[in-house]
Amino acid sequence: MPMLGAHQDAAAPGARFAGRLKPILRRNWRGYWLLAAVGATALVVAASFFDVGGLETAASLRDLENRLLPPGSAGHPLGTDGLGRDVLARVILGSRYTFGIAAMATAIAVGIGIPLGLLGVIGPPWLRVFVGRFVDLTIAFPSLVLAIVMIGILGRGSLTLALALGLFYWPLFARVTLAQGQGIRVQQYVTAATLFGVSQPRLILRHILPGIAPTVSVVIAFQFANLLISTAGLSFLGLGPPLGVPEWGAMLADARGELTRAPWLLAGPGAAIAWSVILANLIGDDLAARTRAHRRTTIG
Amino acid sequence: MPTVVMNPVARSLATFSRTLAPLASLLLQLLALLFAVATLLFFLVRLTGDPAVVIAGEYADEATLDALRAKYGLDRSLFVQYWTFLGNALRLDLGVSWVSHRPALELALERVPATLALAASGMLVNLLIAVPVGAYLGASKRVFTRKTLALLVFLAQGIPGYVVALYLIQLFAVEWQLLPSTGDRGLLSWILPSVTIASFLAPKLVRVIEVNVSEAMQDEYVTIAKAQGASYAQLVFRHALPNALLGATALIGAQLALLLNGIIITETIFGWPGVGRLLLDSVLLLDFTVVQSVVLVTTIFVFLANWAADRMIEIIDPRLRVH
Repeated sequence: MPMLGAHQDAAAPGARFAGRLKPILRRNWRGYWLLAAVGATALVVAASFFDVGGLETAASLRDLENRLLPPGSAGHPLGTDGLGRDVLARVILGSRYTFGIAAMATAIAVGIGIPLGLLGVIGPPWLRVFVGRFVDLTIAFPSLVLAIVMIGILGRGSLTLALALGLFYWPLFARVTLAQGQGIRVQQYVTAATLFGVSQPRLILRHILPGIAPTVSVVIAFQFANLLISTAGLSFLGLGPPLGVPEWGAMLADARGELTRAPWLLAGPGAAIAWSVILANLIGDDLAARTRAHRRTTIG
Repeated sequence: MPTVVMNPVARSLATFSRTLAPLASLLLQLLALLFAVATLLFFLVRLTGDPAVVIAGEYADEATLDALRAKYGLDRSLFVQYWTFLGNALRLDLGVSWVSHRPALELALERVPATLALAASGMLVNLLIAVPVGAYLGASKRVFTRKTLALLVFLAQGIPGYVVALYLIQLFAVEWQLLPSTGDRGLLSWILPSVTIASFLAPKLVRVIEVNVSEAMQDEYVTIAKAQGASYAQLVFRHALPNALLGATALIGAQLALLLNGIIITETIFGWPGVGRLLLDSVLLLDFTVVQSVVLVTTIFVFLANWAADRMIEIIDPRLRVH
């Protein structure tokens, strides 16, 4: 069937992928910069996960003779902390924890919110009403407060932090899925597909999910930025990974103790958090500009 | 005069639906929300298994544990405990603090004024910064200054409140020793926490006001005012800005959630005697009755604040009034 474009696309996945990247690059120089920044950050995060160049040893090696060295010291570009550990190595290794926990929390929130929202879109009428009400109720929960309570009960740790944040930040995803999905479900092509006898899973995967994906991906980017701030914030309060782990928020808490003697210790982890949040916001803005899913007058 | 004679029942029903029904539905919503949060909290606290072990510590002997279980009713079945908990909560009895042995609800409520005052002061600083900056960005014709300022605002959006707070403390309290950095010690000590709160609220508000002002500047009524000889400042402040602020009011509800999240960390950093710090202290001390009270109290306040924000938009903008 030569007239069905979808089949040609499927035959050349490589071309299709390039086609998706194109709009980013074609727009302007900003697209290139964003791509370069995302690439560089991804490399750093990958380096932290694979422990490139003995990062873990460098980040935990204590050198009490060389404590609180200022930035630019020999062998320590960002100086050393109160226990003589290299700050640069700790900031790089920290991306494993801050990014990892925030990503896991986002994944948990997406994993709960989107299926629940879809249930409210294609389920029987009583279930739709129930899911709608349930989401209205839970979206009013004080998420961060409940996350703090949960960590207090389960005890601190990377997994607990990701779980606590993920479990209380899903209502937004459910709401977006519901709102977008309900708009798509009444479209004629969905009715047509139903009349053709398309199965429920196929209806979701081929017809509803692609429709909600642009908006949901914008929300994911902005929510990831939020969760990253919360991850580092809770860990700053002592509710994150165990002591000694170079999570950025925990590093800020350490730096706070040395504020009078070594104020520069704030810069590394502070800049790392800001960089990541700005990058996620830029990605969100870019996705929003491309899909025009972003209602500028309400929430930025 | 044609009088429509209504029977008394219908009339009272009409009065009810106009004035009391919205209030009743509001109360019902709040009750449902509180019930859900209370239920969640109850089971969350019992997630670890035995609260008695949590109170007494891991190495307590069996006799102490039994005494504690009997004292707090932990020896009864989970369902009975849940039922008593809900019944007591309805009578505003949220138990006694396991640490200070004072009524938990009282402990939470006495911290509310400090938090509300700080929130209001932070919101005020937020408006004082965001409204002029947003109006300038939306209306100014100086491309270079505008773009530089817009870039700064965008960068500021990525800096979390606690990083700003630490830098403020570093500069104003440690380096220059101008302002106190802990507790509520007179007006001066309000500055740093309020600026911190404004720092994470303002960038978003600036962006919204900016977009709204620049859209309003192109509206017909502004063109007409211009044709009638209004000055540029009049165009911006009398005509474009009020309409832009109207649109921005919708953001206030969203900012409240952000404010609540941020104020917990802000209070902890600045040792502010508010609800957020009480929450963190009691979570770390595993003082769960106090934790429950704080969470329920914050839930009520956030709900009411959201409701008030919605009503405020309706009061300002008559087009949105449904009834």
